[in-house]
Amino acid sequence: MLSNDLMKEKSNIARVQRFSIDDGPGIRTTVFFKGCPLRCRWCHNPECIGPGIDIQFRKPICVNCGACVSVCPANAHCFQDGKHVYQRDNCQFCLNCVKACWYNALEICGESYTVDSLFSQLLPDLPFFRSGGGVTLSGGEPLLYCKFCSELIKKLKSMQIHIAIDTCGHIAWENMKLILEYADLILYDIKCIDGALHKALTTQDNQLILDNFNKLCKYPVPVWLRIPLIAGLNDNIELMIRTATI
Amino acid sequence: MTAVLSPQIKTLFENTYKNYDESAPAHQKMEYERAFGKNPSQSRCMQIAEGFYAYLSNKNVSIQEYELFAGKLQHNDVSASMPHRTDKTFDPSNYQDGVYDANLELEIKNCLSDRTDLNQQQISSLRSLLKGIQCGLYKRWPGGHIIGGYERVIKEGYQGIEERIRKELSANPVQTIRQEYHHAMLRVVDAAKKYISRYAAAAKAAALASKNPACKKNLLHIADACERISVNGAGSFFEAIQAVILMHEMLTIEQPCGSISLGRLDWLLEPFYLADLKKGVITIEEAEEMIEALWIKLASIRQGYQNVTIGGCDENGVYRENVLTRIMLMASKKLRFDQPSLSLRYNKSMSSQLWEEVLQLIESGGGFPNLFHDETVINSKVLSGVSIYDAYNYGIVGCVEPSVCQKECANTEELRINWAKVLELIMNDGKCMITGETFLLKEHKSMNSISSFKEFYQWYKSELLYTIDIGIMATELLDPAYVKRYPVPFLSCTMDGCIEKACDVYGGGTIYNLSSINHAAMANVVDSLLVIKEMVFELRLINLSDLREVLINNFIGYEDLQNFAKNKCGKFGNGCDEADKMMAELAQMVCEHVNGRLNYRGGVYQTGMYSVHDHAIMGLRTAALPDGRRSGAALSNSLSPVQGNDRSGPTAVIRSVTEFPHEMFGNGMVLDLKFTPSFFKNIYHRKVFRTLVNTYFDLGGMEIQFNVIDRETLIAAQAKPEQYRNLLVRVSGFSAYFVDLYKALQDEIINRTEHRDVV
Repeated sequence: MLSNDLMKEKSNIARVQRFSIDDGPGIRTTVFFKGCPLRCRWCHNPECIGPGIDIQFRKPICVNCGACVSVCPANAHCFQDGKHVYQRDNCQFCLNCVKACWYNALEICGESYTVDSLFSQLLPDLPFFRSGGGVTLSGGEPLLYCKFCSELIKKLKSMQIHIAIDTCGHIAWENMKLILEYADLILYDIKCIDGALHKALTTQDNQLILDNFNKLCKYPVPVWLRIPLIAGLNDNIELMIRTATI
Repeated sequence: MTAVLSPQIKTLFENTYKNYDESAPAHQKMEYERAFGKNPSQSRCMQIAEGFYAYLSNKNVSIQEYELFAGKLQHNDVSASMPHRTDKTFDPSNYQDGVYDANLELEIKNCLSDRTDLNQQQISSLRSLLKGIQCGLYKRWPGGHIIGGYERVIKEGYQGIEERIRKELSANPVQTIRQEYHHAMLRVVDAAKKYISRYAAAAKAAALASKNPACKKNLLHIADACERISVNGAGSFFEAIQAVILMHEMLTIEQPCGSISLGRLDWLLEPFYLADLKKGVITIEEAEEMIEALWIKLASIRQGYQNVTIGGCDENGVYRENVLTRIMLMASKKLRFDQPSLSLRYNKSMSSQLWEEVLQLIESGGGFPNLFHDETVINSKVLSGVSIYDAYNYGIVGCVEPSVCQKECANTEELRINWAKVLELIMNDGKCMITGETFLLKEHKSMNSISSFKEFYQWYKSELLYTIDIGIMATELLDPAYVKRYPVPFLSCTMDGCIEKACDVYGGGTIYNLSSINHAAMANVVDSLLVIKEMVFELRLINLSDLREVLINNFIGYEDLQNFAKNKCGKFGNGCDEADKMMAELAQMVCEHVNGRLNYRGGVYQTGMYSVHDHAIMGLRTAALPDGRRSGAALSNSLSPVQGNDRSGPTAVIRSVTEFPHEMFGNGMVLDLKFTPSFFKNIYHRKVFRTLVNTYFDLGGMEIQFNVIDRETLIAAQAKPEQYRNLLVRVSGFSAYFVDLYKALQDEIINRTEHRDVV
């Protein structure tokens, strides 16, 4: 499941968000990794699903100035009926267009970081981490990059920074284990207790997630179990009662 | 404590603004003029004292049956810049900018008639100041801006003050200017005593006329209190508040200027409250009502900038909680007036119970209280030359100006400089891009002769300092005219130092006679300089003289460049190293340039980094800026980033703003952050909020204030997202920046029901 590609030294990060206050205790800086094994129908960070660097086209801001068209080597930008159209399939992600767009209608989503370059991005808010805050690794699914994460966490722990991991749990146990000895808190999602329904809602079965959860509970690390309640999809009482019995 | 007002307070509340006496301003003017006419050969201070005496002797004194305290602050929607009421040209309806009467032409006329020895440079500095105010380069607001000696009046009474004056008089029996000033002081103290006695009589008469036994009792209470405090210090909590109200009324009669501030009222009144509690003559509920009644009195002067300071350390620098702090927070929360301005001296060890009261007032959205870090402010006062023990006793004047109660006159609004206008002027050969008015530059340069950003930047810095120097030269010429023409002997006799020196507050009579230079549009300038660096000198997208044309044309037809400026260059407030370092360098430069410089009153200059509302007013008169701001738009507020340019959250703003030490801002600074009310609904967010405040102060922050906003703002944010980039909202399980959300989600949040507390 974990491709060698993702094990390499660099990771793609959608964004680093400061003053995150709902991803664990205190004032936190959250890292949103790109790439996710699930495809939840309600995904609230869809820009984090794909692992690669992407370009976001914000149509309402575009003034059809054509600056992107003139710098694109791959015909990804063109005009149809006087309106700018972005054809992602042609894009080589050279990012020339992003630089040329002075209106910020084209923005990069995702940046490649080494452990060291990401680490230095996480330090500025250090003074705010006192009183229980810290760093949260989220996404996407941070544990797709478990080796990268464990290296990063080790460095952060050397600064006494509190670490939370926000995971969907659909990860090989050996990989999850890699980060458990360093993490201070796991934010663990059980999106649906019913296997068939889980698959229907997220495209993946929940067996691995539940097995991992059982193993995780034997570890001394605190876990916050989280259930996204989606009206009409997974919010019925019977599912909740079943969830409570695990 | 309930949020409901008692019936008596409710009646007072409903009648807050019904005390406008149309005849009062004209009556005061008439009495003053008559007094001047009667005594043409007398000194000006004696004439003023006679005018004060005559007006207080003859003006209407009335007490309504439902009153809890005597005293009537004349309702006013505006504060004037100097006691023009004593001048023939004064017309209270003729004010500019909605707040003050900036009659600089009259000021200059006074100065020129007093000073025939001015050289060409001095005269041209006066002209520059006048033109500068008209073009939004400078702003000045003389008078007011002080914390009066309420403590002296409460503790010693007017009798005590009179004895102090007589003691000085008997030590210097020879007829001198000194003696004249003391006689003027005696006259105003006599006027005050008699005026308060008139209130005692009015209260007695109202009691006789009243058929309501409760009202009768109240009115007799007022009569007793006034009788005592007309001579002596206060003997109870009630009398102390009554003394504060009447003294404040007389101060605002003596000079209708803004920002006459009350200082540390909780610390001033606490001993009286505790003594009354011990005697069993007061309940908490009664004390709450009295504070509320005081607040209602102050509220009648709208936009009065009457600051009340609460919290903070004791006289030895040790923090302890004051029992009245909570009551004053509650009063502001219940009444929700713009007055008094409530400032809180914050200490990290504040109990969570008291902090909860503070937070409740903050989240109610009125912007009160703003928070001052005791340690930083005290250090800043010490750097301005104040002794450590006096620094412990600082209060806040007007907006955010820390000032020692009863001992300091800092002309806190002496002069403000619009940094952005300086940039406009140098880029246009000294000419205002809007009016064409020409200003002196230190050095003229042809735009295209400037070969590097470094050269441009050095030039800007040098012209900024030159503009400050011209302004200081002019204000030093103008200020002495105030003391000469509009002395304030009543205020002066309550302040430490003035009786002993026989010298007016505004003439150097107090212990600390500081002068203050304030600044505006700092973030616009940093952002603009970074745009010039990138656009002109690095990418060479345009040259400087063409950029000047773009600015004169207000970016019309150059929207691409405007967007480059807005979107592609570093901005202050995002933890961007280059921007933060530049702000630090410029702030340090102006502080080093003026701080500690001697003023004409024997004190020193200090620096303020706050803009009142001048960032909007000066903005109206400032042309388009290289940072992409259009002509006429508001400038950045105080030390806050340009509106909407802080896109990395509040922690980044705080890091940027604390890149430089705030101790160098002896006249205060402002950092304004915006939150939505729903942010505070989550118990974890409330905890996080205090962490944010504590960290800001740990990093050396001096002042922070909060806007908590609702539906109307969100709708406006939807219409103009570029102005609201930093607006945090609660979505469901997480918080996000409102403008980053897609429209349907924005609509959903807008449409949620608003629950409001009902007073």
